[in-house]
Amino acid sequence: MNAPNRTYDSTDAPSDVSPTQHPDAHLGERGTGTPAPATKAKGHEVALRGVKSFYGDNMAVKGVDLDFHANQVTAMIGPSGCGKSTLLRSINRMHEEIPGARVEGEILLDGVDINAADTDVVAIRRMVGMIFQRPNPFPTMSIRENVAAGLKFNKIKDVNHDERVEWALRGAGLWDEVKDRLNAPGVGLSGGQQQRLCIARTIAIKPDVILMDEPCSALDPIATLKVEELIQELKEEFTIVLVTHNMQQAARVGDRTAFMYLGDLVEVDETNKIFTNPSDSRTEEYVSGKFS
Amino acid sequence: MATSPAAAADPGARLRDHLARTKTGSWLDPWVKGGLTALAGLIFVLLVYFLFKLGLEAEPVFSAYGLWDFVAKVDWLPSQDTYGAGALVAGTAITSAIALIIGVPIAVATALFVTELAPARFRGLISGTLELLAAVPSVVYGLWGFLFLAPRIKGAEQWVADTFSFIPFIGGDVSAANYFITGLILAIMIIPIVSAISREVMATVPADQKEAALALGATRWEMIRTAVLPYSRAGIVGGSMLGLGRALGETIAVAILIGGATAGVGDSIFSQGSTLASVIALEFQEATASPEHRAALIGAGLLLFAVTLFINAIARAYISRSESRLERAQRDAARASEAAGRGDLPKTGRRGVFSWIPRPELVTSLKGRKRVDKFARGSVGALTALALLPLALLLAFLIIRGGGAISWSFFTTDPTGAAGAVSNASRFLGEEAAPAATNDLGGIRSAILGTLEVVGLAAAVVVPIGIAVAVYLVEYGQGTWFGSFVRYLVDVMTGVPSVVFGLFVYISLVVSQVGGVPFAGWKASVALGLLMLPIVINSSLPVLRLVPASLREAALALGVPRWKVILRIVLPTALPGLVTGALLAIARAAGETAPIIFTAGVATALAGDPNGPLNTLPAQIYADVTASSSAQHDRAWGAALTLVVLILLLSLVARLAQRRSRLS
Repeated sequence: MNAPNRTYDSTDAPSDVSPTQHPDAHLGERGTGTPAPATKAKGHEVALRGVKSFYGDNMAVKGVDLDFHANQVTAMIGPSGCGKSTLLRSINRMHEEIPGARVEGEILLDGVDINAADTDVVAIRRMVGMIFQRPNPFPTMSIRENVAAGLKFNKIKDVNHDERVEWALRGAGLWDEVKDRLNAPGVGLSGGQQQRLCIARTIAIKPDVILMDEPCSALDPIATLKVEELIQELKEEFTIVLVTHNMQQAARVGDRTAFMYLGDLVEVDETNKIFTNPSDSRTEEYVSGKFS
Repeated sequence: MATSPAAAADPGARLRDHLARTKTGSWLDPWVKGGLTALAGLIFVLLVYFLFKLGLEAEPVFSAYGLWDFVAKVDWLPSQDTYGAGALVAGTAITSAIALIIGVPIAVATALFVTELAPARFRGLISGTLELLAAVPSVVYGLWGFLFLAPRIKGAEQWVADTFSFIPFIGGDVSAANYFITGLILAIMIIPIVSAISREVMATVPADQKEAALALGATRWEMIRTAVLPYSRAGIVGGSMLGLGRALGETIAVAILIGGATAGVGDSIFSQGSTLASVIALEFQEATASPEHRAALIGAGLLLFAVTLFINAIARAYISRSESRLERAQRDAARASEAAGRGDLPKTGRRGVFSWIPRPELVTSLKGRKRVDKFARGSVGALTALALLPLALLLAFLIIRGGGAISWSFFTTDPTGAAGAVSNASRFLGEEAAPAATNDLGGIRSAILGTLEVVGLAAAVVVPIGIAVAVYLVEYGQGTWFGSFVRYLVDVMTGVPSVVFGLFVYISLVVSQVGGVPFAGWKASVALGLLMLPIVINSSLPVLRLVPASLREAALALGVPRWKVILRIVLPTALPGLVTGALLAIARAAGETAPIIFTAGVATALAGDPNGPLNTLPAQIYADVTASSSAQHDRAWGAALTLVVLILLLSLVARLAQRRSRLS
């Protein structure tokens, strides 16, 4: 293999058309955070150590230590303005794009600090993909071009783009719906399809981690259901962090759930425990709907 | 498998390897940002040099007379080396006032008609026609005013002067070229812009307010009076100020129509006179011999610049205030529509600028109210027709007279310089009259090609720079002091009358014979480029801002460096709008006359070398209109038709590009 951009896992790109078709995909012991060793579906760990995010002088995230386990969905809940989206955007360093914003602390991806001053943020973002609140396909591009955008912009030439596009669209559960109109504009799809197109666009460059910022907030219930099923499938291949306003969604898809309040991480635990027997009284009040 | 045993043992090694080996191109980001910032800074350098150069050149006249005397003295007598700009200031004020008095009510009426009264199928037609009026270059208005309108209304003017001579400033002998006819043409020229802005504001009046008024039993006119006009007042005033800014700086049409008298103001609105802009165009050539004369003209240019800057600043403040006035207008409208429903008199005494409009509240009987409604709606329709009349006449004569002049040889031969063209050239350049070999005037080939060359050169340089500055302002300058500063400078530049840019290029490039020759096509390109730059920037800004931030984020999150996001996502998404803006700027520049006659000189033969005098369509038209032979007037019509068709084609393509836009 001589792939400069991706040194792992490149062999599965052309032949395995769906990430769900790995026979050995369900290797990790669900929920323990310790997947079985040395398989190609081995995921990647993200660990936050003392992460603080600022807007100018205003500290929106006040020092968070949090581990996101490989091949798991970690749901992040909390009232509006609690800093969960800011924290999410700090992980792939999108937060810094806002003038005056900065992030302190260590963000470790497989033990490497990707928040170090000398790391190239652009390279980081290829490893940490992101899905946004509203679907945002590129309006000037067709469905095919949208999915291949990341490969094209990053000049990834050692993979067959058409095969990778099909793989990503299958992975996003969209292939059957769009295979006959790959050259149609991406913005012509329905909202739910657009969001899955964006997911396909993100997984096409095979990141280690996918950050999802309320990915279903602009979708109807049926589209939401589809995306949630998709998230369950995607975690076999990727580490997923999901910010959501919707506690039912966190309960449905999260393996673990983190509750944030006023810029602090209140607690993180098995989703079941958070919703049935949380350790902190604030968490209990929040999940039982006493404040929002 | 590339995954070596070592990498399996240390998952971080794979990532470190990736980070070390990936070439992201993000090293270019600071360079792109720096380059764009430098380009934006160039605007500052340019404006500083512009003001410095004009100030330096005008200094002798200000030190000789003092600012106040220069402005207040009304004798501008180049032959006696006496320069008082008072008459010019007065002439500018008189013509602009006439333009506003005639133009604004008509423009507002057309806007009302289009937004509220016209049947839906006529709306697009009328507003499209008015936009057509805006695309006609000023030299064509001058041509039409001089050859068509002025001779035909002279009798009427004389009758008014005789009959109403008891009114101050009316009476005496009417001269063919005078303040009134100039103001009239300026009024026609400002109607499109005032009408367009009024239309935009009126279109934002919420339907529920209008419906509230109608539901309370108001007639349509009462609804307009109580809901539409109060709501759009600030926008109308702002639009009128922008129209005023244009009237103040208008040069070539005024130079053709006003007569050019500079000794005193004259005693009626039917006297000849001069404005700040026209005197520059008419006298700059004589002034080469006298440094003091030249300084005085540049002083006049600076004065004009200062006044337009002031007026534009007020206009902008007004238009942006219309937002904050929203609440007050809503309250007023609600209160007034209640009053109208009851037939009550409103208790507030303040009537503002619309006090002359019939007040339905004063007419309490239903019959009377209906009569007011009918009358008012009829007047609005009539005023709209009045606005469309000159356009119909202008287009008709342009097609009839211009079409008559056009033949195959008209486009394939160059002007020979025969007949009046010679005397004209000598008037402008002081050259010896070249012996005319033949009576054949020749066509306009060199003028068409010269226009394409000069405008193309300007566009090739300025459109990329303008878009780059707009990209800087949107992508990097948002919220920074430097960004707002550059934004402000661009606004200042927008207000600079084109004649002042022409003057600037004249003194900095032509007089000093940069490139070895005084007049050159590329110098005209510089002047047109200065004119186009703020237009390109201002039209690109909103388009770039319309590109959703979520698209930028999506691309950034895919690991794309910022410069590539701009190049591959932002610019392609905004492309149709950028093309529209660039084409409209080009169309505007193609019709400009004043900056060209200062810089490209007069030529007749076909010349491809931009470093030498070039003929252009506007210059050709101007030279032919001001000549005395009717054969040349015919050629002027033909050239004007060609120019208008050229500009309309550009506008049409611009419109088509806009329709392709994926941004709303």
